[in-house]
Amino acid sequence: MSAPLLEVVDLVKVYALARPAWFAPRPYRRAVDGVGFGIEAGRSFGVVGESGSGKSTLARAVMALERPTAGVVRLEGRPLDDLPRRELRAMRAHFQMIFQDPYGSLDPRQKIARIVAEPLAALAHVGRAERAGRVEEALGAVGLGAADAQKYPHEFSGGQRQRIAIARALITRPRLVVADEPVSALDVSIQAQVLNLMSDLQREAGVTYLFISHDLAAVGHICDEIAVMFHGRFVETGPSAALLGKPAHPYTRELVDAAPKLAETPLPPSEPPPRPDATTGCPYAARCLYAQPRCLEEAPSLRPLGEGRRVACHFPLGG
Amino acid sequence: MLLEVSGLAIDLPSPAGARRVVHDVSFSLAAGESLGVVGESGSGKTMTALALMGLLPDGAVVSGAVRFEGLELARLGEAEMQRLRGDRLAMIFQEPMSALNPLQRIGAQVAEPLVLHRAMAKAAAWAEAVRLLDRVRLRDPERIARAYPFALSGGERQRAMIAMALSCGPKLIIADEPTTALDVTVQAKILDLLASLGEQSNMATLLISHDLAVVARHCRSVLAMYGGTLMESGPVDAVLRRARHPYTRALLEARPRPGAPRGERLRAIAGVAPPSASALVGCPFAGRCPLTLDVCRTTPLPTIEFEAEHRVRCHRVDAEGRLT
Amino acid sequence: MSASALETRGRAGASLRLGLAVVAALLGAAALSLVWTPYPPDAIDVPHKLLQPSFAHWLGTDGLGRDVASEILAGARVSILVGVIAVGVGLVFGVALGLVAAAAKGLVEDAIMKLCDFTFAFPALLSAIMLTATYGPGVVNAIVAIGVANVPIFAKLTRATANVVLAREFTLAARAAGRGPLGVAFDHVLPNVAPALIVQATIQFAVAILAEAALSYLGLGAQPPQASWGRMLSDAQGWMYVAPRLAVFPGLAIALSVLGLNMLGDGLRDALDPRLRARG
Repeated sequence: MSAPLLEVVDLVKVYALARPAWFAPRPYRRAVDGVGFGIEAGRSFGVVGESGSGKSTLARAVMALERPTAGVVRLEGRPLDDLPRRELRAMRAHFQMIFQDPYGSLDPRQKIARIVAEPLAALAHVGRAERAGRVEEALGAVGLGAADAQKYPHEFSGGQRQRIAIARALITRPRLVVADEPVSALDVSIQAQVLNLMSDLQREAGVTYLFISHDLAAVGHICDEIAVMFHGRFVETGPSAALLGKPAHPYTRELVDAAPKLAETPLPPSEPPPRPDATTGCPYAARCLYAQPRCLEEAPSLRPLGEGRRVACHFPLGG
Repeated sequence: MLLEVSGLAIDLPSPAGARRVVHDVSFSLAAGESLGVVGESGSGKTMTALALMGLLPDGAVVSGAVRFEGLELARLGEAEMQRLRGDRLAMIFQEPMSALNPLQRIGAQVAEPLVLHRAMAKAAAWAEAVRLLDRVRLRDPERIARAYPFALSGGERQRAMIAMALSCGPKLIIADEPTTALDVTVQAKILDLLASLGEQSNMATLLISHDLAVVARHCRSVLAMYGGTLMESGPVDAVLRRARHPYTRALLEARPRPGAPRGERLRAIAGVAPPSASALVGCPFAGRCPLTLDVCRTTPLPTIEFEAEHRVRCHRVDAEGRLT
Repeated sequence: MSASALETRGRAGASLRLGLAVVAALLGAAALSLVWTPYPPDAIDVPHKLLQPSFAHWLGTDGLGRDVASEILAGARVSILVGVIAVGVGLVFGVALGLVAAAAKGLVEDAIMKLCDFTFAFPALLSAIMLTATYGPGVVNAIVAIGVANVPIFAKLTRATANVVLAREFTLAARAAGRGPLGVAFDHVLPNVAPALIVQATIQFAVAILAEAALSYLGLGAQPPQASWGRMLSDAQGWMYVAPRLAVFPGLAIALSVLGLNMLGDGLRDALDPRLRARG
């Protein structure tokens, strides 16, 4: 087995919050609390969680836009933290990002050509003439035309802007693309278009995705393997089909049930009994329908479940 | 019939003259029922909702009839509409952060309609507000009432907005994409809450969304709009199982199904929705529709009711609901 | 800003057009005075003092027989000079400080803002008086004082708007694409804070004109024989009961310039902002 393209080991990111009173101790928030995984080239990995789960922080840490408090992020075997600034910049050509907000991730005062070409600025060896050609190539790959390069972002719809963001992410022909909620802000019918585009590009350009979202169905569509994130930790990981078909962790089950579906009749949702917010034990216990006393006392860690699956639960579903 | 809309058309002013954004929409809603309106951005669904509330931008021209509790809303003046809003007719919006005043406590905002329409004293209104926050299943309602919007999560803010909308016991609540900005798990809970509140108080719900699955789960009937025009309407089961309009069918097929083979191509609808319905004669979906014929562009759409209450507007569908 | 901004409809468009017209007139007057004035503005002609406006002297003459119309034209020169340089100084240093504060954050940001607050505490007039006490009176000292007073204004504005821009995702996207902090500041932050700066600059221009007039009135700004509207006001004091028009003309010139600049600022604010936020 070759070395993974992206390797994350024991990643921790802690934020200091404002002191509630002058001499009170400063509270901290563990946004990412010990996350580790690896992605092999050509396979795609999805991270699913709700807001506050730490998934966006994870994305930024992987993109070296934030320094981790602890842990390592290695791309192509090289730890991103230790790299001197110049080398990190050069490496950025190999990993790019697609952001969530199609209305905020493009500079409203720049033309599309300039926006899409921006990552090339970090690549010293790409000259002016080649730049224009690459822009046209990237726009073509996402279904836009050369004429669009001279327009401004406000002349495009949300779905089109997201395509532009994808073109920008692909222009340096990166090996890894981190997509942070790339379709969440789009209408369902446009989501399908953009997801198709991402699948196609995966096949044609051999891009590896780290796909982060709260939408299980979209993640399941693109990714080989999924990790479910809750309160800064992975609570379940495994191959997409198995994980979505037979969730082992109660939280995964909650996500699967909550996803709007057309075919089945919904299960009547039941509210868990009110429990105190504990600092020990499983962080999901307060919401879990199946919590036992042990769950409030002891925090479970990720344990293998067979067939490449791991789950952090004392009483995984399905026995 | 609580609400009857017939032949609603909305024109908005634009630099190039009046622009028709909603063409000839008709539907009805009985007390306690839930109706979902589905469509992409630009389909006119929000404009329709705003027309019901009388909140269209200045210069908008509304034609057609809108009867609410027997009253013809189009003929009412602003003062009369203000008496209805918040009292008999309420609306909740997509972005709870911008729909709530960031500088006012939640309790005060929830109490506002009570003070306005029921002439309640501030203290009594505050107490009622706390009761309402409890009714929308917020934990520790007193603390929430005292808090400001920024201290709450998206789901909590949306529940607070629902509490505000419910305060005077309206007969109709219009929810415009209430969960689009929220996570999936919170989404499900908010929609369930709306449904159960509707049942408890015999309140009718008009739920607007771009996601057919959201509407399917929580509404009794559904309306699909495109380009400002009604494409298909009917009971949810009928529309889901026997959708006849090419647009509705495309919407149904566009969703990735969990468990489907990975990498399978989604049946996306090629092209983009028209930015606004312009002055057109035929079907707004013509050109983007795989079944387009010349007649689709030149002739106004018929309305075909091929089974009980299930209507479709398409030139390619005959009176029995078969594709021609 | 495109030409179509001038077609902005309604009151905003009128404000913009009127403002531009007044500023153009001001600039025109100053430029004209460089090559021609009806009479030399400093030509003392005591036998013809305090004349009423007539065909020979359009606005009359002052207490020393100087042609008022020529003085007004020449005075425009000083006002423009002070305005341009003082605002220019404020922009160059203020924007730089503001960008550094917004980008660096933490202690650096705090230090810069405290420095601005400190400078803010000294009104331009006070600084001007101190400067002239040390270095003697003159236009240059007035310009320096007003310019320095402008720096914290632009620094604070730049920092506040830059923070808003930096919070938006496209700056993060630029960093993810490999741009360094300078690249992000010049290519992304600056163009997006520019509209607010432009509007503030027109306001500060008006303030500079007023400040210069005040300083000259106190005898601390433009010195004779240099013509200045403030100095004209000061001189007019002695003739208030005999010829109040000597105060009215420069006063009107100041008021109209300030009004025109403010209207330009209002018009620009409306013309620049919604256009940027227009969505397709």
